[in-house]
Amino acid sequence: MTTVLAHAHPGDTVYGQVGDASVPLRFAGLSAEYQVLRDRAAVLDLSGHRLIEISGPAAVDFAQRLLARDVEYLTSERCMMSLVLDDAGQVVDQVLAFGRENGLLLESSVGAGTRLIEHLRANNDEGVEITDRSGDLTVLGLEGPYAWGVVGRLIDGELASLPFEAVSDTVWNDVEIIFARTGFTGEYGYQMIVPIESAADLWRAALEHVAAAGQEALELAMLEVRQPIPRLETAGGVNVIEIGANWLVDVTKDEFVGKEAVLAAFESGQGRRTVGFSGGDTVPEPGARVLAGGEDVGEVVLAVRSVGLGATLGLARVDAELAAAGLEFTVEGVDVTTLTSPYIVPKSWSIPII
Amino acid sequence: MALRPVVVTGLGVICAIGRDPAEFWHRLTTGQGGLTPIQDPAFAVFEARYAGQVPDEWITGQLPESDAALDRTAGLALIAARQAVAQAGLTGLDPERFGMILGKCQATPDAAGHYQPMHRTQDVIADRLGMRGPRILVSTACAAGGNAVGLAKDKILVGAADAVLAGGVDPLLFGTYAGFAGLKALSTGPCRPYSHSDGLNLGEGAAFLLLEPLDLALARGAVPLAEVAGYGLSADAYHATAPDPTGRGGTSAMRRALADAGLTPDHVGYVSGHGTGTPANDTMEAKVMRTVFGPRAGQVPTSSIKSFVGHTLGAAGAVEAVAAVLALRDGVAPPTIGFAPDAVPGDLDFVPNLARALPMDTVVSNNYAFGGNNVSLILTTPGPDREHTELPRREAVITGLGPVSGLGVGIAETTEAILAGRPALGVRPSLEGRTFAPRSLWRHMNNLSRMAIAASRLSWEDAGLKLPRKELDDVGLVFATGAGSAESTGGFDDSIAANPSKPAVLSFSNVVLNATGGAVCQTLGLRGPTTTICNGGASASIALDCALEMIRAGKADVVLVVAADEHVTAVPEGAFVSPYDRDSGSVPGSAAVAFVVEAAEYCAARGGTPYARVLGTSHVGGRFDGIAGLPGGRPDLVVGAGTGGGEDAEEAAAVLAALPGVPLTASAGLTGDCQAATGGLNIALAALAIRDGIAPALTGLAAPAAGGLDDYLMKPNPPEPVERALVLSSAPGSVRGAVLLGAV
Amino acid sequence: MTIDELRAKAAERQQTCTQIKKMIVSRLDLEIEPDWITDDQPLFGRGLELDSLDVLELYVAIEAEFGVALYDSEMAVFGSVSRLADEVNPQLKAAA
Repeated sequence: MTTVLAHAHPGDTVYGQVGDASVPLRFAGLSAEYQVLRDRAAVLDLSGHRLIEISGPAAVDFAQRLLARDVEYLTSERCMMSLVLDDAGQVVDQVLAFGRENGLLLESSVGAGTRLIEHLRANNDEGVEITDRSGDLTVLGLEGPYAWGVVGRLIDGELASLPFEAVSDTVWNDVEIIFARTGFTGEYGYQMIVPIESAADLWRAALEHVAAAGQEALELAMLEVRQPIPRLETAGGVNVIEIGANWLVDVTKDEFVGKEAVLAAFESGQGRRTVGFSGGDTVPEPGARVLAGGEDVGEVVLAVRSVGLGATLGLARVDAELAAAGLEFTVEGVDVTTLTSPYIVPKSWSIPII
Repeated sequence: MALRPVVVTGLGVICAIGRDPAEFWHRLTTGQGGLTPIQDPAFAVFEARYAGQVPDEWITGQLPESDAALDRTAGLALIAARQAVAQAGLTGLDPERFGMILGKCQATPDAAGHYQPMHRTQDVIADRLGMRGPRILVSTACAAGGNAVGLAKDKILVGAADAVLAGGVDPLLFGTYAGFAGLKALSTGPCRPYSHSDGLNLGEGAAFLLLEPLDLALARGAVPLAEVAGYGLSADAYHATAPDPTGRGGTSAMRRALADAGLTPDHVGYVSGHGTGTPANDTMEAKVMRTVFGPRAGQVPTSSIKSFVGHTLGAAGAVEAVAAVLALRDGVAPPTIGFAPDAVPGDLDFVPNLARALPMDTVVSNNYAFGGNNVSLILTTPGPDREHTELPRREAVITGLGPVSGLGVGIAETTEAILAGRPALGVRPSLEGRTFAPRSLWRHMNNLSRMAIAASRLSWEDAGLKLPRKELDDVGLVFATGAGSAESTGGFDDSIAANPSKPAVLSFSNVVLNATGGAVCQTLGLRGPTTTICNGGASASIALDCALEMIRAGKADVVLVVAADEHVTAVPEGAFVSPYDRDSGSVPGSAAVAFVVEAAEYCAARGGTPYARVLGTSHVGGRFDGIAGLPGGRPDLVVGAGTGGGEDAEEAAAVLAALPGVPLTASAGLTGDCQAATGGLNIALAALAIRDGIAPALTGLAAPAAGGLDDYLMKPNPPEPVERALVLSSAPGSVRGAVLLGAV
Repeated sequence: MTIDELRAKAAERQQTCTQIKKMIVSRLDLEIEPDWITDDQPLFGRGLELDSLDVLELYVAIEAEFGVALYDSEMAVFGSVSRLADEVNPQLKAAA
């Protein structure tokens, strides 16, 4: 699946295949895009996120059973992020769920739509309607410490100050869009779900105020605030507790697919835990061994070169008793230090919306 | 044709900058503020020390010897009330046609320092002034004063009164001061709204406006000072203490007020702002100005007199309404003082530091409160007497019931308990294991709000209402409570007693009486008109009255009435409770009851199934002297206000005398006295009796206080189909009400 | 450092983090087990979904539990439990 915005992007855009989607990885270069995202605001092509509509009388019951967080009272002016698990407690996807008048709209993580929709259809005991809306709708994002100002200039200043995870059905340029305050990077974040035929217009209008950032800049900024990147963190049969995504699961909920497995993993106290690290100039591959005092205590989950830190930044999955910040480990002969999240403090935390 | 014009003919005010309207206005127009450091050493624990205080001699100097024993709150209110009546020159009015709506935010202490019922101050004033008409204590926190003026206008439009004293009062209380300090909401110096928004100052005071119909005012030679052209209420449905930062709630209150007045933003010459001086408020308010007035926003001067008097909470809206009337009369806008000389010149005109001559015909006064309750009031230059039409009648029905009490959660469980005659005296409803709201909200809710949210959602489901988002924006909510959350009030008071600089802020945010109403709006996403009524056991029937007025005025098609009260200490075991039994005692209980009120034609159009029609209501203030005026038609059942104690005997005797042969019953024998919730339950169960033929029985009655056992309903199945049921409500010593329901 | 020294150091931080989680759960009446909260989890907005009133409540709780006044701190101190641990137990930061 290529991005519906391909014709709107510059010719030298670097694309990459992520799961089932081909997405722009870089436009102007990672470093510049990252700086724009952390210092000002960037527009994001999120067309690799699949939109799936759940409707019918049992839509909420179905979603309540399939999503790991509580969506029973998710109104049409709220959205929330949740994991979707299988019976074994493995992560199927991390979704953004929008309450709708007639059910819910689920937004998959990047490139994970096919797997998500297959999982939903395979578990459709309630007989709800599951519709892939990616043929007619797509998603654009705005993220950055001044993204609220862009919202004001682009759509409506009133929307900029919506609370986190609030949703408003609004009109842009005579087109009905779903506008939401969201965020992946710790910065002010917004998403706009728009009809495909209007997506390029909105994209170009946004570019009059901000620059675009690709998938690489986005994922780096997500990593820096410990926002899970499912495609990179869930491989290898790890469970939710090992990933450290507990907050995307509500264990106080009566019942949901995967609950028993997650609880069992939690209560067993077994397995490894994830912790961030930085150090050195080389970027280790996933699976690289992590040594503590010379002993093998775990492995690298992912690592990248952090523009903000000016060093390698990664996640390691290590023995639970060593999953803490402030420790010296060795990865492929290089000394690294474990970190306290967030690894970069978002500017948005000290900039009010005015 | 236009509705009957309602005018202000008298003003009264006492606050930090004046003991009467003349002094108040002189200081406003000459820029002399009244924010001074508090001298009381108890306040030394707080970093912030400034407040708008009323000198004691201003109070003692205006009260005769016979009123010297009154508590400070009553003293302030009585002074302002007498000023307003005196200026209006009102004498010889039929007491039953003279009503009072009082706005008050805090539960205030009596002269000995003990908390009194919310409505006690009002009763003291009303009794001294000989008022026996409608009596409402409205407690929408910092919006209460403005809200009171609006409700007073409604009372005149529906013909329930010929004159209504509307206003607000609140004293400066240590606990409230500690709570605001804990919220980090206080400025360390005199507050500087709109320019250096670093927090507010609290203040104290009282203000009243005397409202009457223009025709009656002119007929008795009174001088109209301003017309109350309209008002608008709204709910943010956003947060317990923070205003919706988008300004949506404030915007819709102002737009509703303009629509009510038949005016447009272009008519408005001056806006009296809420202007507390907190960053959240001042930023939100600027947004509201820009949204409502668009490109003209900079040409509509807006100022905050809180820069002179501080935030007088429940009195604020009334104090500011008095200022707005005077601004209109003299064509002068009072300034925002303390305006920072180095403030970045913005796009709005806040009338910095100097009063300004400003010809104006239309003034808007805005208030925004905790709980997300907003009010806008529109005052205009009085016009000549003119032809007018009566507010058209609009039939209303009760369509959904949500009782949550010891008897059960929801109407099905409650019905079952009634049929089984299974009392649950003083038993708290069990909501264990059930959430009726998103968990992130539910977590913040105290017990009272949880009960009320459960009741609201259940009534909503029972009514079969499925409304799209857009329509929820116009659904009204009236909350009724005697005392609000005992749990939060107790928790907050305990924290202050332990250490006033470490208050329990979550509890504090729930101490305001309207907190639960705000929580219901937030949970259900209701943004229509909203208010909160605190008249003890009569709160629910008064709330129904307000709901009917919203529907009749076309401000809402659907209004949720929610009544809730709780009791936190243990209930004595083995107490004998049977209403109307001369050997009975009473026990307190905890419950929440919600019912959905809809315009009849709206319900019919959506295919809803009503329980009952509302045929009429009436309320009388003052001491008990028989059944409140019956709205006509002989009922088949009377659901009384009996609780097992209090005025049971008098009520039973009056009912038996007025309606011989009509069975009398009450619900408090099953649940205990749940104050406002018992009043709500009686209305809900009367509606149930009409549609389903099931009513609470007095199964334990042995020695009736009046008449014989066959005068009472002894089994849960009334002998005859109930075509009409009369519900009585009572706040002893304050107000009594009657609601007549009929089959659809 | 030897692995045992690293374990001891990790344990010290984990202990402070556990103390913070217990305080949050009890002070804010959360229905979850304290250990369910992860050290890296964001506390406001996304994550634990705390709001401005919760912060005020936590300031008071932190001062009572750890004797540290954070009243005028930047929001970043609530960036995660582990981040908060650095504030309430300065030894952790010093040793890092």
